[in-house]
Amino acid sequence: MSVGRAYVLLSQSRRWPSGYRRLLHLSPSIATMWPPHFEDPIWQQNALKELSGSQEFERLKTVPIKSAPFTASASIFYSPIVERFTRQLMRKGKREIYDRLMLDTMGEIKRIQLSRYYDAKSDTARTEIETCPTRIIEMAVENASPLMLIQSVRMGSVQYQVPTPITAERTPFEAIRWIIEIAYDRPNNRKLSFYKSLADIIVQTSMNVGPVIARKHEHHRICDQNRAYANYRRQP
Amino acid sequence: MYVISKGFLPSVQFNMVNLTSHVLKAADCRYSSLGRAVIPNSKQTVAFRERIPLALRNHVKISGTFKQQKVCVNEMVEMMSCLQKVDQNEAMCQKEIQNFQKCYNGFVNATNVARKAGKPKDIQTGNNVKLSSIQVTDIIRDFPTSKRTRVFYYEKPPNRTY
Repeated sequence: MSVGRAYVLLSQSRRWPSGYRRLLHLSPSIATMWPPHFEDPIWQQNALKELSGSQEFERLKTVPIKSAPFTASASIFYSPIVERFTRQLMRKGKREIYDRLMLDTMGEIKRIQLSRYYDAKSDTARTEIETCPTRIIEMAVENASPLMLIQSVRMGSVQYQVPTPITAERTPFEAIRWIIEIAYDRPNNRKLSFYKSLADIIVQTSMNVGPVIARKHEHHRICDQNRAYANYRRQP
Repeated sequence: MYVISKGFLPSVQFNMVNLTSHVLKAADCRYSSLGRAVIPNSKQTVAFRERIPLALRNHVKISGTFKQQKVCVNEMVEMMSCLQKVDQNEAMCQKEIQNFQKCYNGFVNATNVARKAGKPKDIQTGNNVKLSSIQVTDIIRDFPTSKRTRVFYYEKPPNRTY
């Protein structure tokens, strides 16, 4: 019996608790199949265009390179922020469901924006309305991203909330987290489908209004209250 | 007097004896032979034997670093005061926000470059210079006093005569 067949049988059988089922996955955090001298692939078209003709490009021709990630795409609809959003939304590794959910939200966003577009009375108002859903999601994440991070530091049996600078890697993570959390905690969540509430929140955030922006402002206010402890942070 | 009786088994009677004092005495005898018992200094007749070579370690114990000003604190405070003035409207404080982000991103990039290149060794020289524990270990490693390579290094003693 092959390993893949055995895995399918074991994962489907009821005798194995969920913890064991997770152990059977060979996720990249546990082991990579690539030897250490293999280099990361460059699959973004813009990056390849910039590199071509340079000395680095000539070197990379002869070097062993890993295969591209399965999310790599040259499509014009591809957006790294949307990709990140689906990953953060995803639970239990069920990607197909959450890809579908993301497509549904994008369709809902399109519907909301088009209705606004056709309801607009003048042409100047119409030109201001953005109808591309990927662009709307990117705008929402950009608007919701915080400028600082709060770190709780213990100094002499007192817990301080210390404002710290935030890296460019972490900002979209926090923004997406807030959007998802608030979309889940909607009061009408049981009656409304999740993708509808998510789309509503994303459209609101892209226009710089709504609960996510309020939460960001509250976060910044807490930072401002604790500005005296800015020197207590652990990092330099 | 304790009595054990269980079903059809015949009952057994026995007395309990306190043995702790005897056990402690035995332990004392045992450990004193191994040299673990507490012996006053006046009675110590054992000659000093150098088991670990008497040389300083090649490292200093890591202690708390200096209290120094953290990076980009002034820029951050400026940005926060600006945001407070205009009621969290970020469009009004673009200059301060960009200034802060440029400062921190520059610091992160510089540290990443330094980490790739190796350890930074910008050590001051002079009479009254305070060095951190990490800087001192950097110096001592270049001029080692003992053969020790690891922190817990134990050199094997010569063959015992006893």
